[in-house]
Order: sequence, then structure tokens, then C-alpha cells
Amino acid sequence: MSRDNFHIPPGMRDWLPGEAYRKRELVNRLLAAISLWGYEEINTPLMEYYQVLLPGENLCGPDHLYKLTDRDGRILALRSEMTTPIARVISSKLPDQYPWRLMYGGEVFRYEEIQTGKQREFCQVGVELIGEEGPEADSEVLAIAIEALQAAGLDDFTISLGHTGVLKSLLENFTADEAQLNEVRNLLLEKDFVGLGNCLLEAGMQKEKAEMLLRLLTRQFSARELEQLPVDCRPEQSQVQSQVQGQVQAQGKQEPEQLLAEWLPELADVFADLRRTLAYLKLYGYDRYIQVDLSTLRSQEYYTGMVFEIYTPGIGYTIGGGGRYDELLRHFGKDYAATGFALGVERILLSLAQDKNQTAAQTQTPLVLVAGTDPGRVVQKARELRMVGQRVLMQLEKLTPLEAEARAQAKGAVLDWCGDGEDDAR
Amino acid sequence: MSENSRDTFNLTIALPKGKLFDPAKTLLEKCGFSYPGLSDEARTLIFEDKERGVNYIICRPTDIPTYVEHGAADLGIVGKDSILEAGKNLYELVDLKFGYCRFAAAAPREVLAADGTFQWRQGLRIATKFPTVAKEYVRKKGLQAEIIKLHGNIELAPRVGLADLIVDIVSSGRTLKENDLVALEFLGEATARLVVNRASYRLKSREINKLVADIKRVLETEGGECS
Repeated sequence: MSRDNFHIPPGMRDWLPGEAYRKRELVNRLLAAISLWGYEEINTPLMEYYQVLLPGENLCGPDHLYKLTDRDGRILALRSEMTTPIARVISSKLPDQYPWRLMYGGEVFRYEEIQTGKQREFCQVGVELIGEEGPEADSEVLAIAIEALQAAGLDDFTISLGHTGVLKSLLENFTADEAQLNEVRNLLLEKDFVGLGNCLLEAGMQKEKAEMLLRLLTRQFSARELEQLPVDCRPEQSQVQSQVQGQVQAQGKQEPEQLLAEWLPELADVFADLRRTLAYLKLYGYDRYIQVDLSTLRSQEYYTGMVFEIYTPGIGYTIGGGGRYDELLRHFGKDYAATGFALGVERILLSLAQDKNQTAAQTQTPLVLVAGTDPGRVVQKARELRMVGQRVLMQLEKLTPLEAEARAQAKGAVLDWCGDGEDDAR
Repeated sequence: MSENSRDTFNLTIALPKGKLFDPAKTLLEKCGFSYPGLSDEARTLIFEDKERGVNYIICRPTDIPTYVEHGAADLGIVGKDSILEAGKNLYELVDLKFGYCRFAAAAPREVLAADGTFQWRQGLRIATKFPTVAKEYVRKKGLQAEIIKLHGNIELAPRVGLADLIVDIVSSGRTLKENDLVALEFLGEATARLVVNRASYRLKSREINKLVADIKRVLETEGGECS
């Protein structure tokens, strides 16, 4: 066999013993935590028709799908996320008995530039809550995401909460020029706040308004700060905010929210929506994980309400994210509100690997090597140990106790020696 | 998430070697981030200000987007030219206004027509340090071109017949003049930017917001326009 056959395609990876165990164990833990909320697992094919998956892709720019053709010449694609396939299943195969609470864990494929923590094949665990509207459902999926991460052993993370209503309102009130709208959307998605500022000014927005908008978008509120900010956005502030915004106020500028709310009336709805979601999260005590950041956006275009991304120290990327997508089901002829999230299993593994306590906790149960002079006794002993959940290696060949000990050591196992007639003399 | 972790001032800042280094260092000093011996010519590339909990990484300008994208540095100061070329996932927070330069397409004077125009055609060979920017440029012009990536001294390429024209950054225009090259078109402007890792932007928002506010204040008092 030629050495060329040793290669695997870029962005794919092999999971070697140990790694593969930790990955599956993590997926199981996440799913177990989610299932406690009454969510049921669903599975869809790795491969679908290309058109079916398109709603999950960006509208502008090339898609990131792996494509192939079947023998009839139809274009197929590997799923790049799970939400769109699940929306298809809901619309076509499940009777109209909503709400559905569904969870999944599986591999998805995205043709993207490869970098650390960003492979082309990766595993997602997530939930979809379909057929329920509003902050009640949104707070439920947020709480599940938090509990799943906690169950995985992660506690130091922050959820950045935003709302697509901010961008929508901005775009609707700003210009009707399609090219400019796309540019604003892309700049905000890329978080190029300098470019965004320039673009808004070039498009004729007043400098003051543009600055206010940028200030709002580049500012983060804790749950408490958002709560204390009245819907009509009077310039009352919590202490923390005053600290952060101190310099701005010292220059006698008005609170951005107040003016913006007059200019973009929809913002009040956005704030109200987020605030209700946070009020529910507070019931769990989970509002401490939340940071409101109105520039949070997801690359999928199907999101229609709150959106969020999850960050943890030491990992430069999101470890998960999600949001409300009330329109996606329309692509499949149904009108259901929906909300959900996906967690990136590989990235959570990366994060856990940085935590020594976690890595220790995630090793498998110890391995036992059973050997002896009588194969019948060895088989019997090994069976007994397996019945009580031990992982057992068997050695049926005739070995001396010394040889057996050496093999056990080589495999990192504890030797269980079945001697002659007597019970195991370890 | 412990509230305590927020209180430790814990930032890693990537600074570019070369012409942007001094203005970047000066700006940080004005914001209270000064560290004796911080230099882009020292042997060491990492400076640890233990007292303030700030680490400085000194690296090539073109590598800064990579350091910041991966979170090896929370923040970086880098030219927009390097950001455009790198195409990385960064948050671009402040236009720092220094390090102004322009992208230009330039050709040798001798190939220009008598009236100074350049004969654009398909299949041109373009030498550049910025293949991404150059590709986008020819795409917008509706041309196909062969992009030849070089790592420096781009102006040499047309003189030895490696390329028909170049795409490069121009600040004073002296290099072009000395090599008898004429700027045909300007593709865009670039200044230094403050870029931030997307996770750090969330997880260290207080520290970063404070620095951003300080930088903006310095820029404003110096009369620069603040975006």
C-alpha cells in the first residue's frame, strides 16, 4: 500500500483511543443533561438534497456545503448544521402536535478555512424547541445550554446575548439600497466597527447618530444593568455602567439608548424581549452567565429574535450558540415558532483539556488483565468481572505470572491472576 | 463565572514590529500602558508587566491578525492593510488614525501610453505582498490576472520582467518614484486599527472597554476624528 493512502482530507480527523472515548463521553453527558428537560433525540441523514440545506447557509457569498451528485445527477450535500434538517423532518414527518422538544448529537460538515478549533467535520450537540414562542421558550433553551455545559464540567463561560431586531430595525430605518444593507450586515457580522462607522457616514447618516449607534453596539450590559435600564431608556445607570461609560458622559453626551429609542422605536421591543428572557433566567439563578451584547449576530440568516454565542476563557472562538428562528419552518411550508442552540463538541473538549481536574475526571474506569494457568478459570473470572462493569482484558495463552504482570503494565491494566485451584492471588 | 476573575487586569496585547511600533507604543503610554524597555528591537519578543498584569507580544505585522484571532493575544494593533489581507475573524474596534497608507496599483513608466494611460488587458501578471487584496481588485475590474506573491521589495518585480504591474501599499510614494513606477489607481486607504479577539471581547469586556474609551479620548483630544 502506498504512503499516499495514509492521508485523510483536510479538515477531517481521526479520533484515537482515549480521544474518541472523551468525545463520546462528553456527547453522552451533554445529551443526558438535556434529556432531563424532556427532550427526545432525533437523527437525520448525513447527506441531503442540496436545496433542502440551503436555508441554513448565508445568502450572500458562496455556501460552505460539501456537495456531490447522485447517479441521477441530483446535487446532494453533507449537512452543515442540524437545524435545517430537523425543520424538514418536523414539516414532513411529524404530526401537528407541537411543541416538539428535540435534541441531537452528530457530525456536520462545513467547507471552511481550516484552523485550530475549526475543522471541516465537527460534532454538534444541540436542541430545537419548535412550536413555542417568546421569552419562555428562549429562556428554556438558554437554561438548558447552561446546564449542559455545567454537566460537561465547564462553569467559567459567558453567554453573549443579542437580538436580530437590532440589525433589522437599523436596516429598515436606514436605507433602501440593497448593496448598502448588505454591506452594513456584513460589517456588523465581521464586527468591523470602524468600517461600519465609515459606511454609515458615507450613506449619509448624521455623525451623532452613527456614534450613538456604535456606542450601543460596542457596549455590554450585564443582566442587572439591562434590567435597570428603563424601556424608555432614561439616562439612569448602574454604578458599573457609570464607570465604563464615565468618560463618555463627562463630555455631556446623551445616553445613546434614549435617542436611539426615539429614532429606532423597535429597539424598545428588543429590550423588552431580552429583559423578559433574562427575568426567567433569573429564576434559575443563571442570569449571571449572561452578558447582553447587541452586536451579537449569527451567520445563519434564519434567526429572527434573540441570538446568543457562548465563550469560555482560553478558547478564542464561540463554543456554541443559537437563537430564535421563527421563519425557517416556512421554507418547508409550516408556520412554527422555534428556538434552539448547538454546542461545538470539539471546542468544549479543547476547553476541558485546559483544565487539569477535568481531564483527570474524564479517564475511563480502570482496566483489569485476567490471566492464569487454566483458560476455563480465566474466562469465568473475566466474565464475572465484566458483569460488575469492569473493563477486562483476557489472556488465554499460558503465561508466567511475571509475563502476565509485564503485559498488564504495558496496557496500563491491573493484573488479576487466576492461580491453580486457589482463588485469584493478585 | 466568578466575579473575581473579572477584577484581575489580565490582557495580552500584540504589537507590530516596524513603522507602526512607535506610534502604537506612544498611544498605549498615553492610556497608562507603559512598560520600561518595551521595544521592537530587543531580543525578547514577550514583555511581562507583572505589576499591571499586561503581556506584550512583539511580532510581524502580518502575523498579528493570526495571534489575535486565535486568542493568543486579546488585543492587537495592526494596519488595515494586514487585516484586509489576512481575512481573519477579528473585531475591529478603533481606527487609530496613524500609519496612513494607500493600496496602489502601479506600473513602470515605460509601458504607459504617451498620454500616461495603462493598457489594461486580460492575463496581466501582478506582483504583490497582498494577494487577497490584489485578487479582489482584479475581480472588480472584471479581469483575470496572474497574482505573484512576493514577500518584499515588490518594486523589483516589473523591472526584472517578473510582473507587468504591482499592487502594494504606498505612503509617501518615494519608493515608486525611485523605481520609475507610476501609480495607476488607488484601491483603498489603510490606517492602524485596534483589533480584538472575539472571545476576549466578551470575557474581558471591562478591561477592553476601558482601554477603548481611553484610546478614543486620546485620539479626540489630539484632534483626530473618532469613529
